[in-house]
Amino acid sequence: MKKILYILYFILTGSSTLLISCDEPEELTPKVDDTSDYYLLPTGSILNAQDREEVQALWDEYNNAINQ
Amino acid sequence: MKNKLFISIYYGLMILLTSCNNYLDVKPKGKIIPETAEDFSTIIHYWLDQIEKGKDDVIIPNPEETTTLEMFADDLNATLANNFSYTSIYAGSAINKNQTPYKTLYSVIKDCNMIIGNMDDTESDLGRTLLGTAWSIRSICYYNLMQRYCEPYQPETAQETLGLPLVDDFDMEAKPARANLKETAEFIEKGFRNALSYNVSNEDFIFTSSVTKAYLARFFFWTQNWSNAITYAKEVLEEYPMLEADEYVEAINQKQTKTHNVIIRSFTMDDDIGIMNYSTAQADIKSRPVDRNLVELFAATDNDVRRRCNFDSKRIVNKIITTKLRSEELCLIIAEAYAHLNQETDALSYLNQLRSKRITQDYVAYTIDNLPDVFQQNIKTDATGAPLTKLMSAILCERRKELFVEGDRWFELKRNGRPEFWVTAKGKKFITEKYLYTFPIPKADIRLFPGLLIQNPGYIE
Repeated sequence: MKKILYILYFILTGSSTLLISCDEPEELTPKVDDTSDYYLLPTGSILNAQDREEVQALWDEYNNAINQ
Repeated sequence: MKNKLFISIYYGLMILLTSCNNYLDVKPKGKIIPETAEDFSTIIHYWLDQIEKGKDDVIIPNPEETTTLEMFADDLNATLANNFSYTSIYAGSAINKNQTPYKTLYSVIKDCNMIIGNMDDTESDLGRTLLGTAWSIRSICYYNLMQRYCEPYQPETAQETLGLPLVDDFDMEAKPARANLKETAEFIEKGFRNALSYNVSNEDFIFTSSVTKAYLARFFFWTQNWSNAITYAKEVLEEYPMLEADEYVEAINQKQTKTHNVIIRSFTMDDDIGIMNYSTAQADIKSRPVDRNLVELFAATDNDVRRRCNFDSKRIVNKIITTKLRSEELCLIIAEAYAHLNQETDALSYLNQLRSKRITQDYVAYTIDNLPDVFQQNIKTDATGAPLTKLMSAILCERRKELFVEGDRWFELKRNGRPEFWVTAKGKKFITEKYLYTFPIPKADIRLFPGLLIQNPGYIE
């Protein structure tokens, strides 16, 4: 009987000591960060006919100027 | 008896072992807690070294950062670019990248605050030089932040415009909210004045009194305090005379030399990373031809020595990319400030001083009667919002030519009405909208200080 009591004693004190040692019980592996540090970039718009004409004129002027 | 002894030892060990939860902690080695002025000087010398070696991105940025700013502006044409490699098409594609300088600038500010607030030695020569340097660098950092992360300064609305979080001591726990723009400007000015009180003359510390005064001129110019801008710019201009035409041709493409007109510049010493930044900048700038509008501006003035120094017949940039503050900019600050004060004769006098040093033949000085018509460009209004006069247009055009690819044009656009313009790339049209002139506060900071840090308008999560 005494032997069983001693064993119980050891189990109780051992487990309580282990629990006491755990001084940061809420310490967990970091949660996976689901936030982003980035902003949405403007996507731009498709060129309309007038834009395309302007761009073509820009290229024409440039090519003429540098090939003179 | 034996059992009791055993139990006592067991309990004793348990208590001892449980208490000892930091037994593996090691004292940090190789870290110095600064105490003397010499210790504190290592903090400042880290940043000075970064500037000299062309590794600094934010105080006196390296050439690569200057190229980045030029990619946002309108002097180079993105639509005609031969490639985009690592460059940004326009400011909108660099929104996320533009968050970065904010963090680095506050890191420099933290180091300056450490010196300003914690160094006991305030009387020795080194101590005073360090304090003067720290105050100067801190205000330059805040000025750089204000230019990038705040809307353009308008005296009438500055009190209602968002400024910066103002951190004036070393406190890791502080959570300052954004001050208004007027308070921010006052804070910066106070810092510059403190720097001047130490009268730093030691060139090894780079940020001498002359450098501080030149930055004060820039700061007053940005905040539209015209008379103070004139006072400080004049003082430094006397000390650093402008280059004559032949000197300009020789000096403008100096990779690392600090010529007599240069008040401060980055990359004055060789370094592997610095050379890499420098080489990248030179290559990137050549990926976009010069915009037709600027070519036409140069074509309007024959015999302008800058024309052949700036770009070749294929409109590819010739000029070497460097970051510097030079006396010619101060001359233009004086001219424009006088124009805003309606002192036209003085404005013309300073404008002509610079023109006479750049037009090699048949130079004719501008007078009120022979000023050319307003040059048609993206900028339509001046810094105060008024339509351009002939005089103001001539001053802005001169500035555009003189400071070509020196990182100035983006802030010129921002200061003078934030005009919207567009470029095309990959079959799409991208517009530099007004909000893009003010960079976003880092999202991480906004999240860290909810309700305290307010984001600039326009940015979408």
